[in-house]
Amino acid sequence: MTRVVTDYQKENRNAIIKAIVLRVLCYIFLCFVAVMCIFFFYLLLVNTTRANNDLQGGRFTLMFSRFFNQNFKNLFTKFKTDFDALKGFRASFVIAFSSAVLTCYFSALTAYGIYAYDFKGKRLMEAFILAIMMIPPQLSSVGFFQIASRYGLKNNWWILMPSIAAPSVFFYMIQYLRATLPKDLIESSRIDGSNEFMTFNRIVLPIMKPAIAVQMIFSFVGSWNNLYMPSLLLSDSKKKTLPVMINALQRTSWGNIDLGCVYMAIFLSILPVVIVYLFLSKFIIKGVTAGSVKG
Amino acid sequence: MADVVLKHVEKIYPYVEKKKRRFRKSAKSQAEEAAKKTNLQLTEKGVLAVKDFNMEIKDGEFIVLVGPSGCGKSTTLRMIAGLEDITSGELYIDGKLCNAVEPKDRDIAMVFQSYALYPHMTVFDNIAYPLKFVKKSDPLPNKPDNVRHLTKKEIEERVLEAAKLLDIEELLDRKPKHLSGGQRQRVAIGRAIVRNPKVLLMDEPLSNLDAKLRNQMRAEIINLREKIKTTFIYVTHDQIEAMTLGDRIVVMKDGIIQQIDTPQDVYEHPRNLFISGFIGSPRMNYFDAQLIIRGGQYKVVLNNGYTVIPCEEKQERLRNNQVKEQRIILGVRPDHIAIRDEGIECKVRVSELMGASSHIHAEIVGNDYTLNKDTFPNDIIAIIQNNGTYKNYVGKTLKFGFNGNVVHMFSKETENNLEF
Repeated sequence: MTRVVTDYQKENRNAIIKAIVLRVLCYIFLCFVAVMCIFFFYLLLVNTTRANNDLQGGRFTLMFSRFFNQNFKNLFTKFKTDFDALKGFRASFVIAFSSAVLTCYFSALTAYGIYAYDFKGKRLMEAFILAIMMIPPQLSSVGFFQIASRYGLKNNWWILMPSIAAPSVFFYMIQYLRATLPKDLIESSRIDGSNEFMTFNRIVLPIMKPAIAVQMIFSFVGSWNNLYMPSLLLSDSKKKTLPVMINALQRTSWGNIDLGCVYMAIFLSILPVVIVYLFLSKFIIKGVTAGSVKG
Repeated sequence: MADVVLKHVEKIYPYVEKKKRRFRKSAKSQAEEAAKKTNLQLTEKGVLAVKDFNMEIKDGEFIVLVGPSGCGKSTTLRMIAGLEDITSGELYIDGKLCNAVEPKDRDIAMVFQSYALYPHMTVFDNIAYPLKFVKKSDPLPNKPDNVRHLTKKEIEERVLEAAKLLDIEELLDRKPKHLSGGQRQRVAIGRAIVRNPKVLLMDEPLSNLDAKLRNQMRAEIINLREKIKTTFIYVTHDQIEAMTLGDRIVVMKDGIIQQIDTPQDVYEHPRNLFISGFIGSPRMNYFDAQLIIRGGQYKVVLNNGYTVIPCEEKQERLRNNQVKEQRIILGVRPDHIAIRDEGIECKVRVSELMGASSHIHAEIVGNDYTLNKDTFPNDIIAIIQNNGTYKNYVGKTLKFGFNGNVVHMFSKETENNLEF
């Protein structure tokens, strides 16, 4: 009897030790991943406080320095012509916000059309839209650039918003619709006297709010950080977005480059995105998981 | 209020051809395989859901479409609503051909099985939603044909009126997720009636509710019917709902109408074996029997020699139809079987106390001569009134009999009632 109890206790102790070790390993791994994520932001923040000479020297440090204000001042005085923060913010915001709104609305509309209606070629159309996801945007940018040049649309903000009905957003939206929107609701609205467009705007769109919010944030951030297309199409300094300006800051000041100012510009440009994430992180997680469970 | 007429209405779902691959079967052969497993009917064009549906529904009538799953009752309702295209035939609502009319222009309302309440709106907004599209004739001195939308005040008045009728006034500020099943169903009905539609369609509205609530809501629908004057078309697979609610019942099977009659007629005079088994709970008892004519009188003889003489009314119908001697399926409802001194000898297997009555399952002593397929083949079911005291007959041998006025005689070949 005593022997049995001892065995049991031993087994129990081993299980507890195993669980603790496993948990510790998990936490170590998660801490490592978290540090990896935060590390580059931290490094950026440190570099904004360091002087240009220090940075040019190539010395690596994790300690804050005292040149934050100096770098900030330099950015807005020495590089005034290359970096007009106000105009950059305005351009980035107009493009990112409009692009996010348009992308989400039209992607939701396309997803709704394919989800709610039965028509010939429906599956083919869905497959086609999804197949577009496979094409890298760099590939289509050549033709896009040519069209923009031919029709004199360069240096025009609106040309940067053609990503309405983006395939990836469409895919997310249609999955969300399949999980959350019963067709009875659409039919009920039709019988209640609503036309198709009103049904979408008044019934479907409010139900899709969490999905739209999430995709709007992702689209906004994607568009805000986009360097490739704006750098191809925007050459007018008054219309440049923040990433294009930062890029120009590096290139034009080559030779007498002030790395402190460059880091400061990068820091300023990511600030709105960080704020958006900080305030809306709960909402993002809720929206991402909302479509996964039919409730 | 409006009459609804369906003339030769048919619904065929075309075969859906998937991507052709070398070894993949065609859509038709896939459907044929599915049809073998279920009761689907196939045609050249596709799967037949509703076949030659003919009916005239009068103004203010309460019609119940009833039948087992997949019989086409919901498809018929959806065709009336405009949610499904009509393959062939004509649908008239209030005398107007509506085959190609959009659902929103048919002036109908529908209550869905899932309630279909808009989750982001309050109860008030849900009920008010259809009113936002209602147009009202409001002639002006310079514009005699002036038509306008309802004002906010008018909408509010009508919502409150509907809420009062359904006793949901205190729920108006809540969202659907904060309501119970019964409350949601009331809101769904409120949204349907607030517009005073010509026709009110209900697609199994009570099937998501528990038994107690279902009984309560059934009574409320009967009440509602007294209060609002409109034509009701109600779909259910529950025969109790069909019997209690409908002015007339349409029994369907495999997309074909089996019988259109009042609940009482469907119960007392089922046209065929299917209806007799579908309507009535517990289901009808069937016996293998011989119909004979002796001295100009029809007699039904069971395999054990028990003989029943149909009543004069039934004799008359059989004579008019010139029914010949033949082997038949004799149907008797459990509530018409009584304990007698003389009759079919049975040993009681199970006795279920139902309150005022008991359901007795008894095994016939001797040969296997019932045709009851779904329970023990040699069992009959009888409903015995307890009259205040429940007697447990389990294990006892009793004799059961029935009168000639309650028997139903079905042809073994066609399964049709020989009286019709």
